Amino acid sequence: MTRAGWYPLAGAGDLAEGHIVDAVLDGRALAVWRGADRIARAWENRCPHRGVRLSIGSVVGDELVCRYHGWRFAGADGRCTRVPAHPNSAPPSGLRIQARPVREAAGIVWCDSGEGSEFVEPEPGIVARPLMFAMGLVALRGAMLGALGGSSAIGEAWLRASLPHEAGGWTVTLLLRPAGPHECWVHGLVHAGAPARPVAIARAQTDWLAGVRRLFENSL
Amino acid sequence: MLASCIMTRGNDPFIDEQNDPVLLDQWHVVASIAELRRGPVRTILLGRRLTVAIRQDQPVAHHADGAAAATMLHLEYVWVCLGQKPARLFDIPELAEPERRVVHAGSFGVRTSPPRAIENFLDLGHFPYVHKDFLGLEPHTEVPPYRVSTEQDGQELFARDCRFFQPRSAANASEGFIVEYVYRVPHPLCAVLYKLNPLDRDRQDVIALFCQPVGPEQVRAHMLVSLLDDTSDDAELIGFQQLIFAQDKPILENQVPLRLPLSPGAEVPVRADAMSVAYRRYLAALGLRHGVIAA
Ligand code: FES
Ligand SMILES: [Fe+2]
Repeated sequence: MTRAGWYPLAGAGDLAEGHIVDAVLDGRALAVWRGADRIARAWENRCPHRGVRLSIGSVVGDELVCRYHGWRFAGADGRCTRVPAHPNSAPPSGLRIQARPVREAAGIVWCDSGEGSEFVEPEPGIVARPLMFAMGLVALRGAMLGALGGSSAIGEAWLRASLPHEAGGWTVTLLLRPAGPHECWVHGLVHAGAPARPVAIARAQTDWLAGVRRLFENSL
Repeated sequence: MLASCIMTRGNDPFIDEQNDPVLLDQWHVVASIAELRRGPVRTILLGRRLTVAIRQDQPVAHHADGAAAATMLHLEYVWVCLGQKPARLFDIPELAEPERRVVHAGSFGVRTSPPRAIENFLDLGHFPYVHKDFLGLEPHTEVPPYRVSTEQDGQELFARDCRFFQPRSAANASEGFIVEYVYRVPHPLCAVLYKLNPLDRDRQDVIALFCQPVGPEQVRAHMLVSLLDDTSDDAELIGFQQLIFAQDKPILENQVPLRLPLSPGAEVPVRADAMSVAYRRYLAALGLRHGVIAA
């Protein structure tokens, strides 16, 4: 287990209204979704009925619908609102999906791996596509600090680094999310002001990060 | 968390499960005769590698070290038993009726436990969602009460009087109607579905699913179809069943955990799940360990 705190789950822009993505935080599988009320939520990724991942379901209004038997769960409190096999009976009482605390800031959907952790907002930047590394958080953080010249740590799970000159030379904040003991996702914010083509900069960051990953994989 | 509770059930639960006495003494399908006509088949049963073939009309199966395994030809398939006290193998007498076509509709690899695959086959409530426009359609989502019973001294499980509205229940169906089903579970990993013919109630379509336990989280599902349908050709029948199965596969591979939990509190059933609940009890009563999480 990593220290409890707020970790990035997804880019806020990648989670459009009506979308569901899956993300794992500290061994906990989550269905991250946004309903018509625009609120981002992170729910336990498992339907209580027959165990199907809710992330393969669909969003209708402010409700999440399970793909297997169409059970519906209300965004507001996670309660089951409909069991289609028995349309005239009340759904099993007390049934509710566990939600994790979520907030949106700096273009990222964040989740608290504990309860009531203090939130520190990073310097805003262009949100890059997250990449998975097959290393635990502590090992990855150590490897990055060693391999990326001029990099520095910000707390336990963030790093400040610079893209090489050929790749634009921008400063980036790397935000590490521990998924499991040997799996980490790296989200990035590129500090490039307000450029004309933010997508190109986000892509340059992703290419550079993929290169870093290849370097680590080759040295294993 | 789920992984850790599996890991604590014995020193090496995976090996233990492969030696589940309940399944060792059962006969299991390892290949269809249709597949064997094209040549020998290499496959895995309960973690053991087998080579299966038909020589001079006789089925043979060998382990990797050359030792022979007990085989039987039955219902279009070669069955293998790895144990010392082979259980009686069930029959489907309806298939012997005259003028019936019996077709092997395919063998499908699915990354799930064999009992999860059977439970899905016994499930009515998913039709309007997983098989939308074929076996079900909103708003016809209600599962009316049906009767569940164990018979043959607890060896067989039945669900009778199952009714469900189906927009296109088979390859030859042109309009929707209420279909009547009987489900039969004559073996912990085999299930048979009888669809009553709406015009001639004495005759029925038969679909059987035989699950080959490759391992506790890997199954080869063999599907046998016998329909009273003289308009569709074999390719159409097979195509329809494969389409339906392809819709179930992603559901099965996204169930957490992949092993079927037998404890009543592990998942939340409703009345429509009476057969699923009975199947879990039936497996618990048999003492099955392979591919399940014991209560
Ligand atoms: S598993 Fe989700 S509704 Fe049945
Ligand atoms: Fe199905």
